[in-house]
Formats: sequence, C-alpha cells, structure tokens
Amino acid sequence: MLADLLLIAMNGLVWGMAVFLVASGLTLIFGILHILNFSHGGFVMIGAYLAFTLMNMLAGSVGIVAFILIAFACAAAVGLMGFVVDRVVFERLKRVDDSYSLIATYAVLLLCEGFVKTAWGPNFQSVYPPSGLEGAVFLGNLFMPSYALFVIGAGVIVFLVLDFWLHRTPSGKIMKSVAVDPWMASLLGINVNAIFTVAVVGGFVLAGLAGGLLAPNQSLSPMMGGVYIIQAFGVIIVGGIGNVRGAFIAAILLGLIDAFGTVYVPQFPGIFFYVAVAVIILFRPQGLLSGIH
Amino acid sequence: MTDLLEARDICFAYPSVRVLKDVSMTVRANECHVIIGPNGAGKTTLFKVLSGETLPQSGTVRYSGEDVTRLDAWKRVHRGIGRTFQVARLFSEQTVLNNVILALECRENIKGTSLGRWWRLNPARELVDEAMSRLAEYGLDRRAQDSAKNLSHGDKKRLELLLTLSLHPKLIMLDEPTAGMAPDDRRAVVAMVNRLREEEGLTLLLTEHDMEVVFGLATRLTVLSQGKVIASGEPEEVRRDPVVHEIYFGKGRHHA
Repeated sequence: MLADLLLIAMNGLVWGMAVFLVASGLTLIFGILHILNFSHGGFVMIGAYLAFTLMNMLAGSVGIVAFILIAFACAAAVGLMGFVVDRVVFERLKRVDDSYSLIATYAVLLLCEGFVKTAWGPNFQSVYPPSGLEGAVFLGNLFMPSYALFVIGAGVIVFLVLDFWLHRTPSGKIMKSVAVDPWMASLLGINVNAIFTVAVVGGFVLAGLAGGLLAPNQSLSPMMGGVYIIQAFGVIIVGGIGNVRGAFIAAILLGLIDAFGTVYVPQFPGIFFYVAVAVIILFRPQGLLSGIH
Repeated sequence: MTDLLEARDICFAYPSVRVLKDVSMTVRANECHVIIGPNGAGKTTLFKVLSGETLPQSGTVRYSGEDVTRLDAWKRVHRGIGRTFQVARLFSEQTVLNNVILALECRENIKGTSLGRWWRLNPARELVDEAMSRLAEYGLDRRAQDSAKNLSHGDKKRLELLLTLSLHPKLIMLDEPTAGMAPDDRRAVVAMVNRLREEEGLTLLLTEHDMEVVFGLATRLTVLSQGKVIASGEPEEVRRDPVVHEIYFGKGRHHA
C-alpha cells in the first residue's frame, strides 16, 4: 500500500519536474519582460527534435554523458534562435499592449510547428533513453525507471541553479532589479535592454535544454509544442507568473494532484491538473507566490 | 564657470497639451540651480527630458558639450548625471543594505573594475563594508537589514540620495527633495546640498516648492510657468523681477 502511494507520488514528481523544466524559461521571460511567450512550447519542441537528430547521428550508442552534452547543444542552438526572436519580435513588443504579444508569440509558435513539419515531417518520432538510463532501479521496494529519476534530478538541479543565481549572485540581483523597476535600474547605469536580451536568451536556452532532456520522455510530433505550453502555463499561473520558486512548487503540487487523481478516478485521466489549476486560481488569483523570486 | 548641461529650445507635448514651449536653460558647473514654478508648469517633464526618460519633440540637450538629446538614460548615468524622484524610488522589496550594495556594484561596473563584474558569485567584501559605512554616514546603519519599503518617508529619500550619490555623479538632479518633509528634515537637506556643492564640487539641479529651501541653497533660479521660462538669474535678481513677482510671489502665497 505504502509502496503504491510512493510510486504514484514518484510518477507525479516526474511529471512535475518535466513540466517545470519547460515552465522555468517561460516564467523567467515573463518575470523580466512581462511578455507571455506563447512560442515557448514550440522551441521546447525544436530542442527535442534537434536532440532526436543528434542522437540518431550517434546511431544507438548514446551514453549519459553524450546525452547531456546533446541537451546542452540543443540549449545553445535554441538560445541562438532566442537571440534572433528577441531582435525580430520581442524588441517590438516592449511598448505595445499585451494582446499584441500574445498574437505575435502565437504566430511564432505556428512558425515553429511549420518548421518542424518541414524539417522532420508530420509523423510521430520516438527517442530511446540513452544507454545507462533505459533500465530501472529498485529504491527499497520501489521499481523506478532510471530515466524518470534522471528527469527528477534534472528538474531539481535546474531549479537550484536558477534559484541560486537569482537570489545570491550580483547578476541575478541585477536581473531582478530590472524586472521590478527597469527605469530605476537604468538610473543606476544598468543597460536595461541588454539585460532584457539576456533574459530572453536565457529563457530560450532553458526551452532548448528542456527539449533535449525530455526528448526520450514521449513521442515527438509537431503538435507537442502546444501540449507543453498549456501545462507550463498552468504551472506558472498557479506558481505566480514570473516566479521561479512558485513554478517549482506548483509543478510538484500539480504533478502530485494529477497523478493521484488519475489513479483514484481512472475514468478521467489528466483532468485533475485542470481542476486543480482552476480551484487554486479561484482562491489565489495572484498564484502561490508573487513577484519574481 | 563652464556650462555643464544645456537645454535649448525644448518642446514637448502630449497629444492634448503642450507641456514645454521652447524651454532653454543652462546649468553651469558647481552651481545649485533651482527650477521653480507652479504645479503643472512643466518642471517634472523638463527633468524627464534632461534625464532621458522622454524624448522631446524638438530641441537639444547638451552635457559637457556633447549632444545627449537621444542618448539612453543609462548612458547619461555613465557620463555622470544622477537623479532622484519626488516620491523616492527604491528597490523596496530588497533590504536597505542590498539596495546600497547594488548601487555600489553598478558604480564598479561603470568604472569597469573587477568588483562589478557580472559573473561574480557574491558581492565583494569591500563593497559590503563600504555600503555599511555609507549607511552609517546617513544614519541608516541600524535599518540595514530592514526591507526598504518599511523605511519612513524621510529615510527613503535619504536612501535614494545615497544610492544616486554612490555612482559618483558630477551633476545630480533632485526632484523636490524636501517634499513631504518636516521643517527639521528640510534644513538638513539644505545643509547637505550645500555641503555637496561646496565640499564635493557637485553641480545640482533641483525643483523645489518651499521658498525657504529655495533661497537657502539656490545660486541660480529659473522660473517656469505654463511651459515657458519666464525668468532666470541670481536668486535676488529673480525675486525682484516684476513678471515673476506678479505670477509667482504676487498672490501672497509663500508656498506656491
């Protein structure tokens, strides 16, 4: 019984950390630029497809280290795309109404989907976990796929690095200052536009990294960008938009709720995520935590 | 004395109202230049144009001989222009100490020293020590670990001034530095501004409503009314100007 509960909880955690990996870049960009980047899921998808291609090039012999290096390469490539998107799109969105940002970034998402269809075709593709992570391990009497544990570890590490950076380092504090009051920051001599660009590229790097790390988690299709973005939106809304700590907590919470809901009410798989999001924002419309943290 | 900041023929209009009409004025090095004028005269808008917050529709702003009309605000800060606001602007969720450390890091960054490098993992020890001693000078050291939003109005203004001065500006623009202050605090501000000018060689540009403060520190006055400069010169000269007298002092109001 206890083992069952633990297994369900672990499944919830895996789901939560996977969504957190996606949501972290989304919430970072919103926290600093106040732009809700609809295309984020599209770039996670591109990261995943890039990982798929790179792993196929290594033809089946991908170890854990190579897998992580590939994820970093995807992060770098998507970060570069982020730089272009910042120059071409985001730069123009700073002084206009929010509705324009939604439309513009949604258009970028469509471009991502079109790009993926053109480059990789409309069919489903799948990526196998790297050798070393394809098996499973016993934790006590819990039988967990090693790749699932890897995703949990990756989510926690990304959270810790982001949290340490935002709260402890001078550059993180400058980032937060710009988020809170860009005009005041510029009066301290901070080049606010450069900081905005760093934030966008950082958010895209996180998208590419999430795509690379999560590629073996599911079948890849040109529609996966849209699926990711909905779940990531749920997580960052519940966490408090722009708040990395909030997103981390919300991802765990919603993951657990969804996992237990699906087990105990199997007629409605996956619905508990949406119910929980609706109920939580009914009582805390600002999210669990607010402000950038 | 040399001209440090010069505004020439500045025009600025919102869609429905012209706020600044051909405003020209000069701030000379090491003077304390005070802009006075009724509410709505355009003082704050002029400040915005001079500090780079808004672009004027026409006219030029020159600083140390360089045309800075279209220069980003942060670049003007790098060239030595600092400013404060009517309502103190701080990073209010941060501690008082962190506010000062951030300003000191920005100063080091402007100077290009290794202490301000963005890849540092921790604030440099010497900057933390310097921040504490600066706070002590301003009587704020006991509040160092408090959140900046919990400071009193006067302390917030003091902290804001400390942040701006941390960047070692040559010219500092203060928008109503004594607004909402008790008389004792106002006198303290006058004493401090005079000390900054006389001992540290700073140039100051202020807007101010309180006439006791104005005549306590101004070395030159410019009077704005309805977006136009109606007089400029030595304080006593301006005080005797018949036009100024009529629209400004003539109504028997001591605090316009």
